[in-house]
Amino acid sequence: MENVSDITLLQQAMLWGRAIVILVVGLVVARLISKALFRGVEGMMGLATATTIRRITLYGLSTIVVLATLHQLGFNLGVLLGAAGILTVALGFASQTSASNLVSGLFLVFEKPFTIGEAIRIGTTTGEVLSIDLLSIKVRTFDNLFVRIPNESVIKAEITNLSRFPIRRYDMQVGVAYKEDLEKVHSLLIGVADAYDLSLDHPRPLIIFQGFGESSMNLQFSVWTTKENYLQTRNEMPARVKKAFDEAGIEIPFPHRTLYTGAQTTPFPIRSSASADASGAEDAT
Amino acid sequence: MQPATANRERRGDGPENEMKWWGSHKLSKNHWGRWRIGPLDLFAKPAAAEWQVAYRQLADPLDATLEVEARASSEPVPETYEFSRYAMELDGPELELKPRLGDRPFIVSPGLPLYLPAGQKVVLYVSTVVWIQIIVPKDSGNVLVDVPTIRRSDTWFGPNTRQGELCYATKTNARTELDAIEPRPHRAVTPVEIRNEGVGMLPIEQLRVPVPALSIYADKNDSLWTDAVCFVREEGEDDATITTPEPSAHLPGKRKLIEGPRAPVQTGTIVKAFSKLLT
Repeated sequence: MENVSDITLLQQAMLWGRAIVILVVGLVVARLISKALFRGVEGMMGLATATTIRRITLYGLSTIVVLATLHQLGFNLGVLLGAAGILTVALGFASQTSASNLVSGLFLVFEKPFTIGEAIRIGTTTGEVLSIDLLSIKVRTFDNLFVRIPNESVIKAEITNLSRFPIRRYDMQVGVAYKEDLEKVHSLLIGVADAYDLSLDHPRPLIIFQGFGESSMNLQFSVWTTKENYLQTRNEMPARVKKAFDEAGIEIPFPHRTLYTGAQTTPFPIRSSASADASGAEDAT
Repeated sequence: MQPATANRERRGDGPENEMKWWGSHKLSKNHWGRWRIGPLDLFAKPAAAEWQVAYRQLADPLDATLEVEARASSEPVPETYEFSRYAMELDGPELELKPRLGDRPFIVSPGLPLYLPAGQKVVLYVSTVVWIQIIVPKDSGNVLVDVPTIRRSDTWFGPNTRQGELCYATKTNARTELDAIEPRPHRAVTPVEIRNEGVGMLPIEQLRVPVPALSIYADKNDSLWTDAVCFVREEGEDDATITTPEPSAHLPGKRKLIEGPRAPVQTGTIVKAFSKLLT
């Protein structure tokens, strides 16, 4: 009897030993395969896609290894898979949001509306993309805040990529008084752009007439610059335009309000007296 | 060219040294040395354990002033000059100045419209501004400052606003005669040969001169030159093959190499050499 129990124990030990070997070796091989795949596709498909492929491969192979180990231990996989199916349905209902984010993340990785390091604007958030993960993207805003945006929101939202193209156009709204000569204003603005190093020579600066406003003639003055110099151009160009206008005596008008009492009414009575002026002046001091 | 100042340092006796400002310069410790090279006003001072450099670029691109003072009669003021300091052991109060060509290609626009009929060729002499490097100690390759003699406007050269490259813009008279070029100490002349082997007139509105791929030379009068460039327009509309013509083509016979190219390119590559204006 002792011999029989010894043999059973030995068989059990060997069974468990084989299962452990399958598990350990399988997981190591899964890791190696996923790493090799990552290295193989990183150059062709980029870091984000390669990371996703590595994770999917690793999780898929690990599942197969765990199933093979359970099979080795004598578990009935049919029953297990059936249970897993029910569990999956339950989990699916419970984790609808996560699953949605996961699928959105996959679409995001393959669609590539932006890559790590680019500056984007989503809704009210503008910043640099730190990472694109399966459930969310991480963004560092320019005032140095960490923002996590779920992939589902990213897929639904309108995304503006600020870094995709090497040059950008800065549009500045300028209003000039009605008495000014528009041709003179036009040549003055072009001269300001040409004299500014950071404004590109080509594409040429652009002036678009926007309409006769309440108090001014409105123009859009557009200059091209590199994406690196955009902020500096945005800060410096208005100052240069203002200076050029001041030097040329061109007026940038304030909003004007004309009070009209109607054709049938008499004008507003205005009374002026020296004593009132003097007292007003004293009050003001 | 304006006359040189009285305290200008002269290296040599003949008029051939009139234009030379590069090479080794010996300064006095704790005293500014000054170089006025066209629109660039450059100062350098060796101190106990550092070098100080100050410069400013004036607005006139045609300024041809050349002044070299080993001991400057004036000092730079922080309000108008760019200052920088370089901490290093002072082997000797000696520095090397070297002209280099630009770090990006130049887009050259002829002042007047220029057309090249089919089957014709022309050699245009265009000049571009040079950069000035301060190297300490001399011959060490340790570049303290690499500054253009005048800041040129940026421009975009490409088929659209998504593809292309950032270049510098410059206007030129695009002289066809060598004698018509005015020598300026801060500009290097590039002979550009253009051959129209396509069909129809070739309007030369803009020309891309790939200065980072060219070497810089000095002729016997110490005027600066670059390698010649040859563009051959084939049947296509805009494409041209860039080649390096014969080494001596269109260049002065007696010349000395100052420095090789910043970024060599392979010849025979197709480049967008001629451009229509972007819309």
